Amino acid sequence: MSESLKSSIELVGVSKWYESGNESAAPPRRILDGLDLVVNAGERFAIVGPSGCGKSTLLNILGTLDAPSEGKVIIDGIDTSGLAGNAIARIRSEKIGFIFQMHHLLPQCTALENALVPTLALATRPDPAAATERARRLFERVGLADKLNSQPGQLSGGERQRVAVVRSLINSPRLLLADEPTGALDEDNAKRLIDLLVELNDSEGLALIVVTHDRNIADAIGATRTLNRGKLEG
Amino acid sequence: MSTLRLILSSLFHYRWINLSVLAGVALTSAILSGALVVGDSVKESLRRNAEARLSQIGPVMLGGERFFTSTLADRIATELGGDAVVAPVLQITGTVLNRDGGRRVNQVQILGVDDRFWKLSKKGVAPEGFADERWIAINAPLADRVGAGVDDTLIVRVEIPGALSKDAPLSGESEQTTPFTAAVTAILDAENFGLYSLKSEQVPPATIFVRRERLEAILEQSGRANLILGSKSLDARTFAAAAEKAWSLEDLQLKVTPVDGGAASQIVSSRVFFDSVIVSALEKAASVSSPVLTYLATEIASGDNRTPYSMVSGVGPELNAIVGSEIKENEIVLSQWLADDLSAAPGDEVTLVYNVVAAGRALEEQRRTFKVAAIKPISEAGWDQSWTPEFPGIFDVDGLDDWEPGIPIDRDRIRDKDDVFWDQYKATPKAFVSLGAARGMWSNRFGDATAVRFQLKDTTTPLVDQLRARLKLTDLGMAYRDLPAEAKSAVANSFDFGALFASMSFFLIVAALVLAGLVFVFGIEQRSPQIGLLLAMGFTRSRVRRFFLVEAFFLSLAGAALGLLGGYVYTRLALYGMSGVWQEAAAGMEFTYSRRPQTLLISFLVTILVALSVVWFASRKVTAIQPSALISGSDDLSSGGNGKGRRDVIVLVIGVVGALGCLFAPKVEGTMAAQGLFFGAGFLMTGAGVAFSSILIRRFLRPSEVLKSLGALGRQHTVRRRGRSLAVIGLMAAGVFMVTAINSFRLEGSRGAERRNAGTGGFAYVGESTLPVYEDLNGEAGREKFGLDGFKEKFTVLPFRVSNGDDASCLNLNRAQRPRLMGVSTERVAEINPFTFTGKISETRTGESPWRLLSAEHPALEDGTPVVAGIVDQNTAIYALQKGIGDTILYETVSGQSFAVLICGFLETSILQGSLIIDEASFIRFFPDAGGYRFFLMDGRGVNLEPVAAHLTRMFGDLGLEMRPAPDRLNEFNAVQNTYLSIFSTLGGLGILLGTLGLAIIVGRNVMERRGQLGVMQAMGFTREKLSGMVLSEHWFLHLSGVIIGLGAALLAVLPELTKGSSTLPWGLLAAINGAVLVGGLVFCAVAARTVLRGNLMDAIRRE
Repeated sequence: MSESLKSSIELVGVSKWYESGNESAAPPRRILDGLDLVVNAGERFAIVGPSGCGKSTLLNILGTLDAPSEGKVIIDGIDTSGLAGNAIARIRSEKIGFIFQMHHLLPQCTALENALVPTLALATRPDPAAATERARRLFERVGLADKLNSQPGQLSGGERQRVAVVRSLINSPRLLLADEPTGALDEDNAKRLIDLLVELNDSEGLALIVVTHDRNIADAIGATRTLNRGKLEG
Repeated sequence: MSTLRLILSSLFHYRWINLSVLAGVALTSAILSGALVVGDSVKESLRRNAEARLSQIGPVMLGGERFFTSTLADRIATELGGDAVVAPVLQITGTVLNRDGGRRVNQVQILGVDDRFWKLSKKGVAPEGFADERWIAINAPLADRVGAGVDDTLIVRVEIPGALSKDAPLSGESEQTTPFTAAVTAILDAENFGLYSLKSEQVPPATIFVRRERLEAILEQSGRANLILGSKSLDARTFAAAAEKAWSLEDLQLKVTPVDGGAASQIVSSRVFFDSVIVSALEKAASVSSPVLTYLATEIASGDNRTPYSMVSGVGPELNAIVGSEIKENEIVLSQWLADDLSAAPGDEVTLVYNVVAAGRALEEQRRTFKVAAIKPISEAGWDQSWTPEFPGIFDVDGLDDWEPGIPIDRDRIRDKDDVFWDQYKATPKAFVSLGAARGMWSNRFGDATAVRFQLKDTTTPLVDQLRARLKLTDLGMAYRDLPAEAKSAVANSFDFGALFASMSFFLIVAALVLAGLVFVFGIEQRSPQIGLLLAMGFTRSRVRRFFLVEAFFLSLAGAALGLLGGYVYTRLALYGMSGVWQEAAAGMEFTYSRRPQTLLISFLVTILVALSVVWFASRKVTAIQPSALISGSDDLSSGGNGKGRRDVIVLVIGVVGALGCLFAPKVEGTMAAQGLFFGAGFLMTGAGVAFSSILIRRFLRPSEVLKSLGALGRQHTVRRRGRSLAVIGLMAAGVFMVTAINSFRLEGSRGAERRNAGTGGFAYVGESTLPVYEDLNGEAGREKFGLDGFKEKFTVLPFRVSNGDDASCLNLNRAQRPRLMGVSTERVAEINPFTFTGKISETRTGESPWRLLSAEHPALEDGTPVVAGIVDQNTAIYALQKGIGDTILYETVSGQSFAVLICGFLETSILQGSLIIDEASFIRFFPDAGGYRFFLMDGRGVNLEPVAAHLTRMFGDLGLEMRPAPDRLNEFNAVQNTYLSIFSTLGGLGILLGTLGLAIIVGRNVMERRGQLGVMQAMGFTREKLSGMVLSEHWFLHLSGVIIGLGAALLAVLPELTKGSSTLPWGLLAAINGAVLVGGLVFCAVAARTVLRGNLMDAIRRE
């Protein structure tokens, strides 16, 4: 299992821009503009902002799924910009968990197998029995103890998303990043999911960042930061 | 959870896509293994063919032009000891006519055999009834061709072999063919040597089997044979060594008699003229020796007096009492009888008139004047008939009236006193000259002595033992051959049908792989969010890619294994085709299915490797995309960006420049490089065309282009899936290019056949005879003799001398071991200057025929082997002989010496395929015994020569001559190439079919991906028909672009064929093929688009 996130994830002067198109001579479209951010262990907050403001881009950069055009992403004191793809992948597998708007469960695997897939990404494979036991405990915790052997197609939308939560926690990450995690859920399921995430943040001591455009969700998270013109406010 | 489990569950979950990939891999494996097993099967068939041909035969000894005693076989067997079988055989060639049906078969093997021969058959015993002296059997090929069965009567015509070549002076009457009737008592199968042949050819020759003693009687060769077969258990060297120990003087047709009352011995040959090696061996063994050269003077004249037809001997000063050492080269010693007849006295001038053989068999009268040195009575000691050799037609007749010496005899000139002389002295010489003078007049290519008188140094050792120590049978043109080893080599080096089929299936393989790759990529694309997710979880890119590769590995493993079963079907179909519709590619062959485990293993491994490479290549792009993009599905996997645009321009420039370079590069004559360059140009242009299409597709990005029309909007989608679009264009272009370019090389013999540069050489007829024709068919005498002078059509005949050898044309699947040599007059062929030269060893002067290269002199090889120039059909050289310009091929002369033929020129596909052409003078030098001509090209500019050809076929029927239209002969050779092209077209056509299937899959996939968009458009008010039109315009554009690019590139590749005068393209065929491809692709697109658009598009919106 991973080591704990001792200090923080730190963004220093991070900017991200996109070229306008093949033929056009227009200036690049700037999404993030010299953004600075420090996320400490056990911290949680929601990132809100208008559509297209760059919330998901920021989350992807935080999770090392995307690289900034400028600036640094420092995780546990390591500047990831100088790292090779494999080293970054290792950090991801050990320290970061993701939840997306769509559950992206592998249709070919059962719920339990889906939850265990991230263990295959670790440099040192955990004991399979121990990993399975942890998965069972997590499934119990999210209320899906009886759905271990169900195929994703046999689960409801909320259940699938809860399987995705178990999957994100299986390697005991210290940072959980959720990108519109309730986007595909009804109100009840959305609330249950957010409650679950908050509870996990409290009990596991992991940092939680949730990107949402839903003010209610943001309120449920507690702290909120707004992305505006490429910078975080609040 | 484990990686393996994840992979296995993925394999199962995406089984339909995976099954499609597996099908593509299985198809690849089936084609590859099937093609290679075709090669195995052909080789195995050839091996079995060789086995049936030779049965238990091992080393053999060929007599060449000589007939040795049949008891030599017994003596060899005794030398070898044990129970080795050594069988003497009399083997000649003749023609066979069915008395009832009138069908004639030429080039029939006629075998005189005894019981020992049958011990070498597969069955090992003589056929039933063989003991009956009237027993005659034929093999099945002869039975089929002549239309005869048991009890039918055949008329067999054979040439009575002469003691010496029919081209030799004083060789007797030339037309000595004789017929005999044969009532067939049996038809022999393969168990009983029904496929017997000593040649490395797969087509079994027509054969007739006769008891040896009967054939000996017919050929007047009592107790003689010209072939000895040893059993397979014998070692070739041991066999040869035994033969060298066992031969006798009689085997060499030599006879020793005492002369001068026993003071000396004289050796004479029934071949009349002595091989120089024998004279030399005798000289070494003798303390004193003196060669003798006796010849026929058609006239001896002194003043007005003339004596007709007299023998004159030339002798050295030793061992005779007639001509001493004081005689000068211009002096002659007359017999008293001759001096009286000519009223000549010592000091008078006497002129000898005699005929010598000039080029070919033409006689040339020459004369030489001598001064009478002495006159001696015939009764003087030693002046007798022993000086005269046994000239056929002279020595063995009763009177001068019966003379048939092989030169014209004017019987009116023979006087009574000449008959009296003959009665009293027979062929006793009437005069003597010095040996030097005789050799100056009468030496010829057959020898310069008719006898040797000698006294041995060692009188205790028998002469034959002394000669054996100095002479080998191979020095005299006899040859040993290790037939099993030759057969093995011929099969091992035979034409590789496996490689041929694999290369001809190349496009089919590529199409199957591209299809498998496309489906695999679709599968990956479908799972791109999964890939993103895995990357997000911390899997490395290479690891994610490895997941897919392992999946692909399992699929490849199963597909390649399954394909081996499919390969069985492929091979069976190919062999069935080659026995049926494609039989021209392998005439006369019966195929056996055979596979080697290593072939299957190679196919299996190569398929897996290639499939994995394709998957690796195909998956490289999708795993390179940012995971966030993959997860959100926002990336369209298209390849945009200016960098790629620059790459297209670079490819376009390289393609065009490279193609132009290939077109205008200096071509190395006589190699396949020229064709390779044109094909290279075509391929580069295909690449450039695809790059150009890529640039064109980019233009659709421009907003102004997009909304021009609904079609333009549709085509804009090709930008999003540019990789796919270019794959379609490339696949179609490559397919059309291959099939069009290859079919442009289809040959038609009658096309432009009258042109000198055509494959017919402009000759109207070509003829080949079983037995040689000795007469000059262009000369007055020859034409008069055969009734050709009555034809008003002007024609000439170009005759070729022919040596026995293997057929090296494309009709023979075996590797020719000793290609047939043909000798032609350089002067005459250069004057006509037929055929097209594709390569020359050196430039010839402007206006000078390249055929002159034949008479150029070349330095001997380092070991002293003489070198002569040769010209050969390019296909024969490259494919059958695997030789190039400047290479040499070693042969052996009749006297056992080696000579090399240096390949100086290549001919474009011609009726001379299968033989190596050398200058006639060189041919005569190395094959003095191969008399007469056996291959003819008849020429008559713009004249219908059919009546002449029919007349020649009739007149020379006994010799087995058949004159056939030259285009027909050329078409026989062309049929092989054309059949290969048919096979290629069929396989290529299947490849294009797969290509169009790929196109349909892409259409389906493109529409499926856009069902949401299309649903929205339908909601906007677009009709289903309009949407269908939009989809079709996009894909028809791709298909049409592919066809146009392929067609353009193909036309470039066949540019030399277009610009060459000798042939034209098969436009009809090409239009049909490309029309079918074009229409087929359009229909496929339409069907695919309609099928996918049939569902409810609004559902797609709701789902989104």
